Amino acid sequence: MSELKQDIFFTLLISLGFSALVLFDAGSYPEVQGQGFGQGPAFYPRLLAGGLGILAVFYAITKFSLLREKRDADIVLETTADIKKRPFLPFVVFFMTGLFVCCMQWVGFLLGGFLLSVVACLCISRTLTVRSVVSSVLVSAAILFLIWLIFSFFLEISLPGLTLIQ
Amino acid sequence: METFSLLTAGLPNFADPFTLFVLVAGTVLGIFFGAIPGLTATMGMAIFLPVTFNMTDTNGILFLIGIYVGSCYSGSLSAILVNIPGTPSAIATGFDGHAMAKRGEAGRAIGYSTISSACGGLLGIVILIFAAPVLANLALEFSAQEYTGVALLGISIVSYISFGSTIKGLLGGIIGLLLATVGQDVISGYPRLVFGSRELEAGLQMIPVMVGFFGITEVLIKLEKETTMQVIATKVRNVVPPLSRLVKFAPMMAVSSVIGVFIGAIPAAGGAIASMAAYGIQKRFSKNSEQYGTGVADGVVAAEAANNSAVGGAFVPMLSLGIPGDPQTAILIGALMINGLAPGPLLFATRPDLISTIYLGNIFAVFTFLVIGLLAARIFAKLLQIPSYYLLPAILLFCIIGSYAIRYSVFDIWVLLACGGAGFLLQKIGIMPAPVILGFVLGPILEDNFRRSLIMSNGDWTSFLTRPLSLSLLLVNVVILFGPPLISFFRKVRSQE
Repeated sequence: MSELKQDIFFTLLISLGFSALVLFDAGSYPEVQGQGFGQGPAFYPRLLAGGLGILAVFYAITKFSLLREKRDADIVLETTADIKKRPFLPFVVFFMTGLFVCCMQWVGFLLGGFLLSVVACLCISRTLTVRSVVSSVLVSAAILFLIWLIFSFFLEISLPGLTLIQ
Repeated sequence: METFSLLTAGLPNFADPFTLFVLVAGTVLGIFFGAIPGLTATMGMAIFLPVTFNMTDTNGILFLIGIYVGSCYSGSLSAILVNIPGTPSAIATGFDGHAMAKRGEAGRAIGYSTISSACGGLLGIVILIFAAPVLANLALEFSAQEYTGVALLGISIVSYISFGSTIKGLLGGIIGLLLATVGQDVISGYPRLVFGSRELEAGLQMIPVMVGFFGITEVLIKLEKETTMQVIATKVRNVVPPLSRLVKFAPMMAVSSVIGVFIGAIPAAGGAIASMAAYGIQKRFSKNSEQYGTGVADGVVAAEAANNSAVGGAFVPMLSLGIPGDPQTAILIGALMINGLAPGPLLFATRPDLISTIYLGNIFAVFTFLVIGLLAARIFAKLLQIPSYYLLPAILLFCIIGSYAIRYSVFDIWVLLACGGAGFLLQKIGIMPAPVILGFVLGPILEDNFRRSLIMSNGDWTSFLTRPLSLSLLLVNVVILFGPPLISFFRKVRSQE
């Protein structure tokens, strides 16, 4: 699928999907009487969701007409060779972060955060040497110390604790 | 006299050494965030917004102002040294600044940038001090219809200047408005878009949403792209320019600053557009315009004076109307709301000390970065060499603990991650976080005033058209959204004929 078609497809999917979700939920809200114009809690979300859907369709129509014009023309693709893409890394780090949040109540923020930071540093740098591990460990310890200093020491905010010890 | 009393009302707040410490710390943090490419002023303010939750309202606002002002200046450091602007507002600075650095004049470029930023910042604040009360007095005449128009104006403008297409910007704005409806309806109290969740009945908290969209999203975007930077191996020396040269540049600084303030005052315009506009105008009217871009100090001075004066301009709609001038002031509005303060004309009457503190805090932050920039530029130049694989996990953890610290709620962390993930996916289809967040911040203002207008007029939609000010605002909205596409459509038809 060309980039333009992908753009149209995903824009429609996300916008119409969100719009449909809001309209579906708003269908269950009660109609409230006596507020002039018969407004209820559903009025404003429906207005916005309708606007979202209409705009998304309008966008798709304008881009489809552009697509048809481009078929007759030479398309020059520009490549960005100087920026390397790592498409899976955001998802890996996001998943690890979610896992950390799930385990935080048992492992504690400091220990869990330290482990997350070390693993994330190594994943992002894509090196696994003794030197990189040692520097990741030291930097992660420094980061967690800084967080503890700012939040726990100065602001007196208790960090999610270590349930295993307790 | 009233202006003078408004300026001095906040002076007692600065007698506390902790207040001064907070302001200096914020400015230093801001310089750090602005100097490093990939870290932005908005990200810095969003990440540290939760920290202000445990401060007094004045200290919290001053801390964020310090970050804002510091980062607006320091984006020029990386623009000059590595030709990658630390903040979007430093793009124009790099045109000539980097060329100067390649010639061995990095220190001089940084010196010009620092001093013109300071001059621009101060002039912007002076204009703010006189303009904001005037606009606030005008805003007291506003009714619900006018506030609806102003809120729509903010969303229209940010959509128009949004990277990508205007329609994508509008889609983002509407998504933000819908996110703001989550929770109890203000009029009927009925829970909306909660899907059975008790936690969502209180609505989405501002901090996790902002930090998610501006912090987590940016981290995920940076993770995807591996960029390498080559720092110019040059000594940063002779930072302070000769006084005679500075005097020669004074008229240029003044003109660029005025341009910056007026553009900064347009909701959602910001320093990037201000600095590009000032650079372009100065180049156009310069006697040596062909030298712009080859490494002349004029280019650095014009751009930097404008981008810092835009800060003062952005405060004008924020303080007088409660409408953010840019994403950074949207975060400041969030900080005020967290402290139970409603930005807008009434704040001038109820909390003149806070208004004065904001003015004086801006001035103090400018002097702070002036001193740091001239004395410690070499140290901040070293910061550019910190690898992203150390910075990004740190930012991630700060975002998480910051969101948790508001209500000690793990649910807020999940909201943070959900917004971060949603922001990442939206950015993949060209919808930027700024319109979404502006929609989220303006959502309660827009819905409240829009529905109140209809209730007061018994459902009469023409009430928006019969009031002259409301009609004018709606017409401006129409022109912004439909003007450019219509113009290009007619040009196309004419060229085909």
